[in-house]
Amino acid sequence: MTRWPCSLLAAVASVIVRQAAAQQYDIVLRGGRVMDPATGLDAVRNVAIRGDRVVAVTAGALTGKTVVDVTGMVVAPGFIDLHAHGQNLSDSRWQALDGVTTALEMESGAWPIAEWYENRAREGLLNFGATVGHIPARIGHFSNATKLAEVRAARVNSGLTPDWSHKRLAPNELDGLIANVKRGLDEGGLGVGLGITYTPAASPNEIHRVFELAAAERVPVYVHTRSSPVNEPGVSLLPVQEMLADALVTGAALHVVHLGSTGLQQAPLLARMIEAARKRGLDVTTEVYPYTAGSTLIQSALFDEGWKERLGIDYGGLQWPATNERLTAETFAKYRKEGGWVILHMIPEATVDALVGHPGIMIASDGVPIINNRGHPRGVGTYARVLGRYVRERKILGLMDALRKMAYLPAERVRGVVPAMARKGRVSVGADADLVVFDPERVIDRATFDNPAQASAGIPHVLVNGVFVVRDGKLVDGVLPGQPVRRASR
Amino acid sequence: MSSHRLTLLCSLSALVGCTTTPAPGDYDLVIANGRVIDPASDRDAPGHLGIRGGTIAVISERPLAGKDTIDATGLVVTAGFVDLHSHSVGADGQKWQVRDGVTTSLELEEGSYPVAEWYARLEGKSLINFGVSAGHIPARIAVIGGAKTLDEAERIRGAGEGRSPPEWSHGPTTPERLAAITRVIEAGIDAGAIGVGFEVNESPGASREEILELFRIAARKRVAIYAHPRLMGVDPITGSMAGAQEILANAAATGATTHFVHLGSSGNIYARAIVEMIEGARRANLDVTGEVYPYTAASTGIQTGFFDGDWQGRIGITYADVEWPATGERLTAASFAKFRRQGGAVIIHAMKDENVELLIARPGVIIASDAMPLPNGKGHPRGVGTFARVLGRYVREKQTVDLVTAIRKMTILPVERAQRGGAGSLSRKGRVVVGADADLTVFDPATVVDRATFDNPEQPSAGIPFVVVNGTVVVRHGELVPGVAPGRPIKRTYPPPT
Repeated sequence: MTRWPCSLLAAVASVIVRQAAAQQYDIVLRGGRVMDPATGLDAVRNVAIRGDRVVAVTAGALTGKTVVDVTGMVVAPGFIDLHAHGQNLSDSRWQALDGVTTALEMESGAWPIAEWYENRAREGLLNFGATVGHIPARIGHFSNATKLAEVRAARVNSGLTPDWSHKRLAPNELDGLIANVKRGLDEGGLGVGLGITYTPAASPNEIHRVFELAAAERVPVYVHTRSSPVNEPGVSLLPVQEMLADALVTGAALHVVHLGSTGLQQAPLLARMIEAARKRGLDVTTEVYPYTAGSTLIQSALFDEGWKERLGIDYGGLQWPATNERLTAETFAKYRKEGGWVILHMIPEATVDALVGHPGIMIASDGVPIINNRGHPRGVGTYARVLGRYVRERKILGLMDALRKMAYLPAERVRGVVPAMARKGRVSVGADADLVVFDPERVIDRATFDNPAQASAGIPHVLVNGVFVVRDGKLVDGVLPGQPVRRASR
Repeated sequence: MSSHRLTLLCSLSALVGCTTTPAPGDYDLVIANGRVIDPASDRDAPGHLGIRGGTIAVISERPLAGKDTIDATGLVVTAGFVDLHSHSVGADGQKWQVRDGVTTSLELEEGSYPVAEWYARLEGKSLINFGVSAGHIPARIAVIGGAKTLDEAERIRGAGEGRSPPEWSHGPTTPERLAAITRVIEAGIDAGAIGVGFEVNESPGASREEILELFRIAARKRVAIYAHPRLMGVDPITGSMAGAQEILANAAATGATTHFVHLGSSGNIYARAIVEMIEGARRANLDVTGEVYPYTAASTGIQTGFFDGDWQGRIGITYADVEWPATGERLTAASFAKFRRQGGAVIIHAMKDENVELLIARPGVIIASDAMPLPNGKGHPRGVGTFARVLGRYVREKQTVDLVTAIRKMTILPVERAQRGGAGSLSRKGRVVVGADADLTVFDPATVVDRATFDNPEQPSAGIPFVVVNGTVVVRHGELVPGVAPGRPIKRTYPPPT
């Protein structure tokens, strides 16, 4: 047999494929450096999208209805933020411009869950989801609030020592609270969110009961640990030790949020403890945001007596975003009565460097609402900041490691509850077309503490479920392609 | 029949438990006609024990003849009790503990420094078997207090608070101190210590990182941690739950084998929650255990960190719950202040019997005494009566726990705990089987009872007529046998048996 019939067959087949491709691909991203942290692929490839899925990743030429030349750019899975408090269209837009395609509210969580998902679906620019919040469930328990708006109002307008945060529940009074949390899980909550710092009256026994429920329901607990005890100045290891003990004893999966602001100087030691526990078989993970300041509500229990000793800062370490002034005893007292978001300059740079550079610790923004163009910049610039400052400029971690921490690891964290997360955090055939295209030489955050309302640069394209939400560096109007990430009812 | 076949037949007979009657004098010691209870081998049956060369040579349904015979008719024969927690392992304590049925007494919570000197002090002079952990407090006393010998260390440990708390207990952790403490503890383990013990609420200067480091050492050296928590008491947030959680987290992070001492006093009103947490940790494949002593009062030094700050609120007691043993008086603010400067052990009436009963009944919880010395014949009775108290009051009278389970908690459970914690030379103890060390306690289940009281602790337990240590009778007809010292050291073997 001569060779030519084979070649002829191949040529014919190639034409057929190309014609079919031309018909079936909605979008082709041509010539980019595809980086897939799930498989380690790092090569120039063309990526084809049909509907909401990636259908081809190939070195061969592709054509489609829309072809975008992304030569010189990185094509990566869209970033998955486990810790996004800005659950509204305005804050989602800042996050989209930062490369985020899935923004989940795992720490504070929500309650009631069904209403939350209904509301959120009306403005789903990004994929969205939430845990059942212990705090809102506790508010519901004490106030009989049953609507999201009532719960939110109770959270921000209830004075400095409301029952929901400062009243203890005896062991025999816990059943109602646990039932609230259980109902949220039944309605699709992605786990249980705990902010124990904000509910100092919640005893270890109460928290243990929450872990027992989470273990029984096979969902993780996302936790902002309790404040250090007053008689242990600085950061005590106890709050994280409590969580490790609960995870060990109940078997519940545990995610410790924002280890940088939780651990301060002790964070690297806490990271070692968490990693050691994980290596020993516990399902324990953690996250960090790439900033040396935190942010929270000034009226919260975090500022109960002893905060200066616990956090190692004085009034001057606090910034009031509305005016950008640093606080004094007088202004602190005034604003604590009024309530509002405050920025806390308290996290050692060495801690942020160590955690951002750690290959097993996820990146999550803890983004809080940008109100009147003011607020902590982390909800605007977290991901570009990691890529620009920590990867490119300071070389604290490699680019693929960063993508793994921003997309693949968070997807894996949620996958146990939502199996479809196996299609996120990846660039491969069959994956959801949640993609970010960025310029590794230019990507950078521009949001600052004084002026946060400045979108990240160097991220020209972002797709959510096969739909451009950012194109050529600009938000696309009139699209809401975000889908709920929700636990299947059982 | 060839001699070869005869030997084979005899061996088979031994295996099925029916030996031919040997000639008189075959055995050094025979314990005849007892009810042999051995939870380790599921034995609870009448039998005769033949002991030769310090080990159990035969367990027979037929009578045996020996050079010496103990008639155990109507009595229970069991492995000698193994006490994981005694601060009174020396001569004064032994004479009480052995009459309570204890044949091995280990100082694992406080531990010691220097370890070699501790063993040497008892070598060849001990009624019962003895062993010690490398102690964190003794290491702090060595590193910060400058003690070089056991006498110096014990003097510093027992001294009153004086004008201010001592640096060895309240001084902060520094990198230099922690490195030196680590070296001292590792040296102790290398000298044979069978664990790492700490009592961090009596050394409150030790940071959480310092305690975590102890777990790292224990994991590296494959010995057990014997843990007395930092936080104890009734407060729902800063009380006993938080104390237990620090220990469990450190175990989770390091994988160290971990034993909670005296769950009654450490657990307080949270005893049930804490024992359930320990069981949860075991389900997660961590080797975590706990122990209890059968009393509703605790004891410790009045000069220690236990009494720092708001101890009344913390523990849920008042001055009147604290007893000064020398006089039996209950304290007031004034007498408390006086005695705290002076120093000395006090008795703290702090626990509820329902929690003590819960722990005694709980499967897997070990009985251990926390024995304290009795200066001038005064002090907590637990070093004199713990084991007979469990058998008499909690098994026979209250029926809190059945006899076989109670014996398990006093024999094989502590042996296996210490063995997995590095004490390999315990492998032939805690069992009544052929080849085991002849550490045996013979008691009358109908009459065994403690007699030591808080008012008058120096009253040996009743109903325990015979105790044998390594084949030597040390208690006969309830009396100490003079001039014997068969006790042997229990030291670390590496790697530990699995």
